[in-house]
Amino acid sequence: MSSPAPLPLPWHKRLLQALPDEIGVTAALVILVVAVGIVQPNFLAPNNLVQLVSNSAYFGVIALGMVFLLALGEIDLSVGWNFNFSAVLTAQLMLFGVEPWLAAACGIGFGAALGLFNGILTVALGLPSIIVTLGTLSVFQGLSLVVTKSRAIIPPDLSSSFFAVTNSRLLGIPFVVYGFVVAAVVLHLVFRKSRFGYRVQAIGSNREAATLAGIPINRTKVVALVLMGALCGLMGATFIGVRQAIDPTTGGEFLLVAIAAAIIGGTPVTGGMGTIVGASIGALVISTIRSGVIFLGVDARWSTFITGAVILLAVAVDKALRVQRDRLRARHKEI
Amino acid sequence: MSLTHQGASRRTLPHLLAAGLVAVTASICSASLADDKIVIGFVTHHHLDQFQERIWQGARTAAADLGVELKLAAPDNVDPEAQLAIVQSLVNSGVSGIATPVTSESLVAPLNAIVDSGTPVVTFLLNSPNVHAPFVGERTFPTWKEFGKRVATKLGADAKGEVLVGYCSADLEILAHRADGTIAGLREAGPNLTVLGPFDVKLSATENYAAWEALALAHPNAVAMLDLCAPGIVSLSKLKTSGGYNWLIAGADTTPENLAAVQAGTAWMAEGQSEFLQGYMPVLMLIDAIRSGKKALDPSFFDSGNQFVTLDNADEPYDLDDVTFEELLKIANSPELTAAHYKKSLTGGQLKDWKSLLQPIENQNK
Repeated sequence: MSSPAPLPLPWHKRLLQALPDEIGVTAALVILVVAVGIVQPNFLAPNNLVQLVSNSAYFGVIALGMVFLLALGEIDLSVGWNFNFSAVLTAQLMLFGVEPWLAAACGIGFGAALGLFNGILTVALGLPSIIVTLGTLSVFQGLSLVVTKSRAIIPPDLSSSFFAVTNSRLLGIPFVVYGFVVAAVVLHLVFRKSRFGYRVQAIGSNREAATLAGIPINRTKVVALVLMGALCGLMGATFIGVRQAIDPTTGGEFLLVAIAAAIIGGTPVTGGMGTIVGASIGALVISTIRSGVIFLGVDARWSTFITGAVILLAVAVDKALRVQRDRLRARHKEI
Repeated sequence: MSLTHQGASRRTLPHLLAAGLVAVTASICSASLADDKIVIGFVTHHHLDQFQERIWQGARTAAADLGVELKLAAPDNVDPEAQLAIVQSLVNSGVSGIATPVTSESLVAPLNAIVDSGTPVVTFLLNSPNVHAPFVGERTFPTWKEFGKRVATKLGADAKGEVLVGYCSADLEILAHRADGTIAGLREAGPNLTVLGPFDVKLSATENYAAWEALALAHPNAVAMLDLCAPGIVSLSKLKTSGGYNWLIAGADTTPENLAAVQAGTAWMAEGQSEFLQGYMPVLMLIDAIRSGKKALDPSFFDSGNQFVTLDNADEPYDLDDVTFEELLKIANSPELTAAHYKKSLTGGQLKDWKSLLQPIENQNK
């Protein structure tokens, strides 16, 4: 006697299952923006919203790279100082008279090289990248301080087209916003459609199975860390173009917000999956919350608490609902 | 860009709840800015110690005295990007003027863009000469050179031995200038001294104590320990007592804790930089400009003044009343007494005529 066909889910559950993963964080972003905008209409002014996206770009692109590493079951703690050191190198080359576009390309390459250094150490020592990069973050910060001598580096000549392009606006939207969007599209396609992306997710899902399937674990890990480093270098070089200076302090705080953006967007720390689109929106959520507490006039001493509470709530309940959804799926299969 | 189709119920609710929390918060927060009300946005580069709180106190007093609304804010840590995001949010929310330190040279272009857009800006505490705005703060190199000279003089012109100089962050350029000035002063007035540093002794109390403890062990015969940031005097005083050392201790900021160490005799000198004025004057300058219809202030330098406080000396800058050390200690512990201490000069003395005290911006580090 054959098993009965599974009962169809109620229509609202079928609808919810059909919606993309990122709908939740997207809906939350929209609600946050609208909620703040209702109380403070200035928040919805186009220039403010554009600025919000623009401010998200630096740590947002780093968050996109972090998705690959989290999906792989790894993490890179040195991203903030990679960004800083790459920006320092870019600016220092300009001080030496190197043409700015070439200096920027060198900055990107330098970031990738720092990522390669992380990757080689991780593989050679056989340690998780979190431990290796716990050391390299201080190495990168320290070397950057040696180069800067605790002083800002300011490119001497801003007449190059590099600065004109990085500071340009199209339809009132800054270059860096377009760069963020392009990076998100490209990295989304790499993550979802490329062999490298599949390998990242496969390794993060089940390392033993991936090994048995012949997936090169170490090579994939190194490539992911190089990609992370290159993204840090890219944003470091872009930062020099937009802000026209780099200080020893800039970038150090990017690590936690980049990780938070990726996780809020739906990439779990357990590995095996991730969402570039979600991380992009997660970065916007963080910027919206930070800006929202200012617009709403929240007392400065409470703003840190509110920001942390909103982030914590989103992540904690997300975990609880994920468990619920897994149970729902399992129950549906058993029927 | 395409989105994956893997279901979304597990994502929607937590994010909706998060949005709901913010919406509830919104309902209990202040209403939109009235069109005719002056609101000043005052953003410090962190709010992790009493020094920053005293700056805030100065800003609050100015706002109350001048009848304007003040929006105080700071990032969680020293984070120039987060600080800039706060400044930009305040500008976009419609504040009439902005006061903020230039924590990073990368803030120069965005701050100048704010000035160009018609919102006046005044900087304080940390400066860049490239910002199109006035600056309120200390004359870093000369002040700290004087600090170094006083320490060397106290030790004696023929004194020998090691003098260790530490600061709380190798990342901040202003601290590098402080160190340069201190070391220059020590070498000028104490040619036989061996000056070591600057050492990065960190900002947090725990790390600062540990750093000085290690340095003390490495240099057991040092004759003086100098910390150019606020937490050092307390750490060094505790070490001196517990370790039986007899160094000369001097450091930055006349916080209540530092003054208590001077009173106890464990520390010799605390250098104050009039943090109350660094909060008060930017607000005053902004309001003056706004009420005069100015969209931008000319770059200039207002010297907030310094105090080299010892048990025997608590001289105040400008025409502020000279006080005894005990009186200074009471003032440091009371926002009301602090405000009263400055009131006479602000309402009828030298500080009332602050415009005549403005100097060219180049003088800030001369």
